Amino acid sequence: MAVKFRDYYEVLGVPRTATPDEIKKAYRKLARQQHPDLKPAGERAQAAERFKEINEAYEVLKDPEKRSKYDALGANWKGGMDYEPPPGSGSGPRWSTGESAQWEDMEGFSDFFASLFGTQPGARGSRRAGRTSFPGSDVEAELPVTVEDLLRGGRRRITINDRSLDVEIPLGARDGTVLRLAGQGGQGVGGGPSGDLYLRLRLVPHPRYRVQGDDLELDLPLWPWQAVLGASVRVETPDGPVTLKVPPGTQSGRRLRLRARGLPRGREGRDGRGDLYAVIRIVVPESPSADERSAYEALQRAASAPADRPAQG
Amino acid sequence: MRAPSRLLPNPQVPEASQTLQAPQASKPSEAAARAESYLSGADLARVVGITAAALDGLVRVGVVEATMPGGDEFFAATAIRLKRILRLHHDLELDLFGAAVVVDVLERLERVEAELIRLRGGRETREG
Repeated sequence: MAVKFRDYYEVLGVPRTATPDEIKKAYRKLARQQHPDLKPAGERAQAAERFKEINEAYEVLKDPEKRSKYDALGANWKGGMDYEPPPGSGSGPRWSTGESAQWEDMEGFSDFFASLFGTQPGARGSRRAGRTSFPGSDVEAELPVTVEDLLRGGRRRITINDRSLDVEIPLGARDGTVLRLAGQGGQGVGGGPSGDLYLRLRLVPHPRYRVQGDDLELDLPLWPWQAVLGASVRVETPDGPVTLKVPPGTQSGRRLRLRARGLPRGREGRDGRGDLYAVIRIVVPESPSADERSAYEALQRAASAPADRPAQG
Repeated sequence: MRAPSRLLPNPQVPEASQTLQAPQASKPSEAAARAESYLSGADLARVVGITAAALDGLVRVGVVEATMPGGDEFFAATAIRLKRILRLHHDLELDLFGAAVVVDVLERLERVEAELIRLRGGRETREG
């Protein structure tokens, strides 16, 4: 069966006369530019494909034995030409088109490489000769979660690679926590084990609560007179409403703590919970009633303003 | 102190990161897939394809850290991080400690970029 010829010199951008040093230098330069781990997430798949080619070319050209075998094919070949391997070439497993396609999609080298050098290689000869199965690739994905998910944990259904999967979000998880789901990544080839699925939790902003480490914060609006005179106000917390006593003379920005009403801490939440903070925001009536207005005017007359602020507006 | 060198078979390149679709209510009858947010040292070594002794070496020189100093519990995120370090070590012929520094910087960059995207309302994407 014909396979596509690969021009390894062209891939590395070196002439056929390149010295080992020149080949190494070219590989290193390309690896720096194309390595998928150095790329933004959205470009990794494409970079991985390109990097596979670079890796394969380097695997052949850095090894004098492989290089001379490759060079023996002659200089007239161009990348993409149909290459018919001679009968009996290669010593390793033969691949059907379907299997090769899967292999290509994973991490390995081309079937052109296999036809020349036999055994499926794995990068840099790291695989044992004659190995016929390969593990599936790992899959990384983001899973949006809410503050409620972090508070209570629970099961979430996700769809990945056309499969439906229920995932348990553990107590103690946070924005950025990674969950590993063993064997739920890419499928293996030739009976190889599946890869793993890594889910990175991404916290969706909550309309009411902000997460600060183990603690939650919410804004508590107060009228000016409540802040000055003190008040008992009803506050919605994740555990239901509570009545919070605001002390007299509470300034805007002050954080009032509600102990152990924050996020579960530690593995499986076994280290208790963080706290919930009510952050005071003093709000003024934008359209005061006539009575309110006269009360404020009376206040203005009666108030002794601090020396560092103007007495009259 | 130098990190141990040349440890491992080439780790796989993960598929591109993706964001999952919005979850739906689950049927209570279905078993949930086991999701681990922590790994033991033995599991971490197995997952990334190195020996336990090699992992100990990496912990000793600070390339990876347990959740608690001296402990044998690792965040699952460490598996992703360590695989990435090992790939860079292998493919770019970086010293392991150097690869760890590169991954630190990349992770920081990714956090900053995510924050930037969030601040700009999700309109921006990083150019390669």
